[in-house]
Amino acid sequence: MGDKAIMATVWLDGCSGCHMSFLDIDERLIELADLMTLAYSPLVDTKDFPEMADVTLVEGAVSSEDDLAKIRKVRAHTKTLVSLGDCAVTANVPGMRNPFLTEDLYDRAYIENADANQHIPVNVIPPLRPNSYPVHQVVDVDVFVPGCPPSADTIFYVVSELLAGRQPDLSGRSRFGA
Amino acid sequence: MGRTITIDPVTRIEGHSKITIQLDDSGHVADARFHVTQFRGFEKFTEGRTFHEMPSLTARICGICPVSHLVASAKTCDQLMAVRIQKRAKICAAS
Ligand code: SF4
Repeated sequence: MGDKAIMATVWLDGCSGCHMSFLDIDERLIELADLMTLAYSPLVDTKDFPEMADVTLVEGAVSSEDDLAKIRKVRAHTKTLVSLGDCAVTANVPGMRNPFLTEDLYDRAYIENADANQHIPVNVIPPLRPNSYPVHQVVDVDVFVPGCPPSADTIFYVVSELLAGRQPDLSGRSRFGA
Repeated sequence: MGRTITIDPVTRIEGHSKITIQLDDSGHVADARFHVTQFRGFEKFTEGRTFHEMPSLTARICGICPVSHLVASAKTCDQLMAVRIQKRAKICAAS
């Protein structure tokens, strides 16, 4: 992967817990920083995705039109795409809305439960797709890391292996909900 | 109306948001808005689930402040059950 690999992280429909677990790598982040540049992430200020990222960690399910557009773009500009955490791998908590109509979700939150200013926001919230999907349902995914969130040790292992050009072996290291 | 400046996404916060700043014709700020751009529908999809699932579910509202959601939900479950909580457990939940 050349001198320093280019890494990115994105969050789609998640809770940012997987990113917090990534930060929980703590001082080992400094080790990683010797091997890669974090070119794009909610944790840094850059607004543009790199031309080609070697590794991108994706947190969250694909729930809105924006999520879909974002993940397609990210896939086109990423060599190794990692589904990080249960939301990305299975749709997890965001997927729990799938048995409901989106109108009913909006109604409950913005009309029935609203004490004031009852209205469904039209321009602010990106339109929801009828269902929330795991990432691999809409684009190809290279590595799956289950866990809600995956532990910092697991994430460190996965990233280190990928940066070393190896395929991480996750057997016994993480499981759904762990 | 003048130019609109959009900061999207806002980084180094939990969640998904953007900021729009509306300028008037003379370039002064006329309006500024903070938009929260994520909606998952917890208000609906948690309906009818068993109460003891709720602390783990609400913790997934936010991965930065899961504890506040978890404790609030656990306290609600205590009230639903009308149980008296041991003093030590109460102190733990309040801290
Ligand atoms: S997998 Fe769990 S920790 Fe990660 S974004 Fe989803 S709910 Fe949050």
